[in-house]
Amino acid sequence: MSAHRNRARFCFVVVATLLLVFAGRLIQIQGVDPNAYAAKALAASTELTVLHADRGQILDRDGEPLATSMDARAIIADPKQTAENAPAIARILASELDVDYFDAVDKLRREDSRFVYVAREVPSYQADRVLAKLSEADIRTGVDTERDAVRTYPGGTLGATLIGLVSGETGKGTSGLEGAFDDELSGVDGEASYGATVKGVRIPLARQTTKEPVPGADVVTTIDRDLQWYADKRLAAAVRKSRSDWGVAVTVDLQTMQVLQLSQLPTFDAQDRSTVTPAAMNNRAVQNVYEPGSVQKVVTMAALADAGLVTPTTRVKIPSELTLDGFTISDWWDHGRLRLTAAGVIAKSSNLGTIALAQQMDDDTFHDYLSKFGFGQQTGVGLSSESRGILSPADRWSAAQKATISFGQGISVTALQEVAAVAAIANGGRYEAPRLVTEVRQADGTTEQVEPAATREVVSPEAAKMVTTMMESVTDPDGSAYGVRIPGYRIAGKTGTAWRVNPDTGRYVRGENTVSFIGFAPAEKPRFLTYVVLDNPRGGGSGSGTAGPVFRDIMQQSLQRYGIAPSGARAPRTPLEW
Amino acid sequence: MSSRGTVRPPSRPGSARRPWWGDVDLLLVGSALSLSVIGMLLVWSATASRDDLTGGDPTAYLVKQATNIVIAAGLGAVMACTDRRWIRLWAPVIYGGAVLGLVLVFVPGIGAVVNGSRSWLQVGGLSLQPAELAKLGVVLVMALLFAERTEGAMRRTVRSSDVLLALACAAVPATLILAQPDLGTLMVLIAIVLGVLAVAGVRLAWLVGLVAAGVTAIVVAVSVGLIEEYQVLRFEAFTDPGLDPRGAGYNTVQARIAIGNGGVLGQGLFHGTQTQAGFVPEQHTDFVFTVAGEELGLLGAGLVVVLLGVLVWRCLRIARRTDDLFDRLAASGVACWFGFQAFQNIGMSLGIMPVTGVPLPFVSYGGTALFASAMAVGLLVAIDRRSAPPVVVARSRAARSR
Repeated sequence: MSAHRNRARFCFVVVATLLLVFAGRLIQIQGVDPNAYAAKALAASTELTVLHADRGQILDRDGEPLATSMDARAIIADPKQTAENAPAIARILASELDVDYFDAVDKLRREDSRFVYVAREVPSYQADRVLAKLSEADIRTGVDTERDAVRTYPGGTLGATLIGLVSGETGKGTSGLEGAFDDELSGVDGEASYGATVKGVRIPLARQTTKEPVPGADVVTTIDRDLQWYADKRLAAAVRKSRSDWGVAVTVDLQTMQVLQLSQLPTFDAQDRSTVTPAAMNNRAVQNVYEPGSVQKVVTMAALADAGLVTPTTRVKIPSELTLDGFTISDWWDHGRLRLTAAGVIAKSSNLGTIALAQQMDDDTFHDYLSKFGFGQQTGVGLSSESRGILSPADRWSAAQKATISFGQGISVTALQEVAAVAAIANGGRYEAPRLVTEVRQADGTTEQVEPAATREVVSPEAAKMVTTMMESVTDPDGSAYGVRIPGYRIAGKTGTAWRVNPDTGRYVRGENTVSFIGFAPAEKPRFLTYVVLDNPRGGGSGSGTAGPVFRDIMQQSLQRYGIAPSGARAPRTPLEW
Repeated sequence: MSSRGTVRPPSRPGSARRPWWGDVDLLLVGSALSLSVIGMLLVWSATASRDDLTGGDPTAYLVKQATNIVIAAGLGAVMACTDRRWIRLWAPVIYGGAVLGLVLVFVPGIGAVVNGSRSWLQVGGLSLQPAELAKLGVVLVMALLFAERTEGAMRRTVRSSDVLLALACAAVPATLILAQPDLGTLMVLIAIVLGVLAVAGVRLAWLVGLVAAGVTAIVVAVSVGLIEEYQVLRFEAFTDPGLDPRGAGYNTVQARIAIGNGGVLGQGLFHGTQTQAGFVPEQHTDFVFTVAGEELGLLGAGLVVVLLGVLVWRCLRIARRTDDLFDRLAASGVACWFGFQAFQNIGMSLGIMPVTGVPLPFVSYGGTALFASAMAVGLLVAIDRRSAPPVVVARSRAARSR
């Protein structure tokens, strides 16, 4: 009897003890440290999703897309759930998509991860088909898709190097305009945080705070898509025919200094990543430096004319050769003593004549003129990694350096620097940096104009006019580039055939040249300037014979496209000899 | 009542006529009813925003559980009004019915598989869990067995053959429950058997031996692989819930987060974020305590614990007060049943017991569990009424027994 009662009492004590344990535990969880669990509660119920901002477009000057984004999907997976069926899932992925089977299995089994991208930029219809097949095989668990924009470049190779690319991994622009204007184009990713069940299903009643993504802005470039296309093809044909290492062709509208076309080779097909090579990513117009050669003579003449040291009819006596600082310098054609005017020096591209005229100016003054023309400085056109070129300070020039710089050796430039400098001559002596982007259009409709850079007078209008006259004689029957003339238009131009510094040896190599042609038209009222550079054409090549025809065709195309009527006027005949 | 008290003329104690509820243990019935009502509200809250369960009607489970409570109250009342001798007759009926039900769940078309266990009978529109009834059945039949064997022999000691017979009676439904499988109910059944044996005065060696045998059986079952892998995982998750917070440890972690989220005052009924989001699995049934924890806070959860404590205390008190062996064993068994189930259920919600599916008495959603519990309470009321004779008599008997 008492045993029963004792045992009953024992039970009672046990129950009372357990109740106390519960009370203690409840107080511990709820009373003492509730915030820790409350914080966990919040974390557990919140699923964060990044809402990717749409990337802005890169547009040409007429609003046609050069780079745009297309809606696609990414196949994502939770390895914790997919590890078990990884081979089966990977088999379907590999058969439906451009996915490597073993790579996919690795990703689907990745440890310590709840999120992997298995495939990106998958067209929606393909993604749906994959999911359907997975469902069919009953191995869909852990695999899902999310929005993933594909960057597309409707033009393919059109201006590909200039426009650049977006990294598939990060979605960031890595080169060209995509890279340079990445901040504007990217926009700001949004965020959705919502309560979700374990299976990731949204809970209707759970709070939901969403940060709307801000779409990226559209960048309006100055590029004329059709002209770009034409110049790309024309340059590519020339590079191929001359077997050059690389080529650049740039056309600017002199009225606005907007770059209408900027073609570069080698390039790639932006729609086919396999064609992308490091060399093709190089924006040579601003990143490559080279010695410009005779094209630079017009800059020298402009400086001399501005200083009052030269007019087109200034007479120069030219020896057959010249020895400066131990180097013997001659012209590209053999001649005895010559008597040329300054115009004749330009027309026939005489190194010795240019040196003779440049000797009148001291080093510092000459250096100052070159600086004012923008050499040794970035143009600020807006592309990344722009080079400053190489212009040593005057006090470090060697004895012969002024002489060589006067005809374009011993100085290194970028193509765009040369364009800007000669454009200053075409524009009556006013320098204005070339522009690639005119407008940034925010998604909310507001537009932000990219203001043109301040202009500066480099040489007097008179001096500019004189040099223009000299340049017109280049396409004279007696000039170095008669074949580059365009019937009905007055063309001011200059050839360049520079000794090329071999990038491997750092020395000039006989027979390796950088050939070029720069010119603007119509000479009487300049509208377009085009500069064509071809590096290391096999068999030497020449500015007039190799680069000249490319210039002529692009210039002709530009003049016709923009309805510049031929004037039919003849260039004033300036005496070249005396 | 107080007005009647003042009007009534003073009289000798014991001769007074009590009101009809006078010999009903109000604390026992009150705590059971309170728990039922609180449970109904918690079930409602846990299911209101779960369209997947309710099919779009937020009050679906409120209505179902309210109906269950009414039926249960009716069954309890019937038991409470039944004469003690009749209750002894009820014992084999209930036991037999439970065993029959446990067999029927294996009959295709009648039995139904829910959550991997074949525990349900579908009869018409009703879903019944015979295992719940088996708890009451085992309590009654074991109490009856010991009472008959000892009273008839005019002995107070329990023979080993009686123990074996009682164990055999319990083994029948236990085996059927193991076959479902429903480990939670099995554990409750074992607790009931041990409790009844203990109070029946079985020698301590028997109890120790049974516990040892049980532990050995579990170890063997795990090592041989008789126990499903998920059950082993649950126990591992119990020792370290962070091990696999989205898998086996998920219930435990989510349950504790929900309770912790409640704080002292709770988030308010229908306003618990974890509850309304449906993070805690089986929240209207096995994890109903977490609803109280999150939405009613420390105060609400504490109240539930206290009410359960009162319930078990009253059961034990009734067991101690009665002289009749059947009554005492039945009351003790019910106390063990409620106590162990409450302990196990709240314990797993609080992370101090491994997760096994047992309902919280009177609180969890579920008809059969409620019916069986209410019948048990009715049984205790019936027992208590007889063991609480007029005060004078009680005193004299109390004096004699000392």
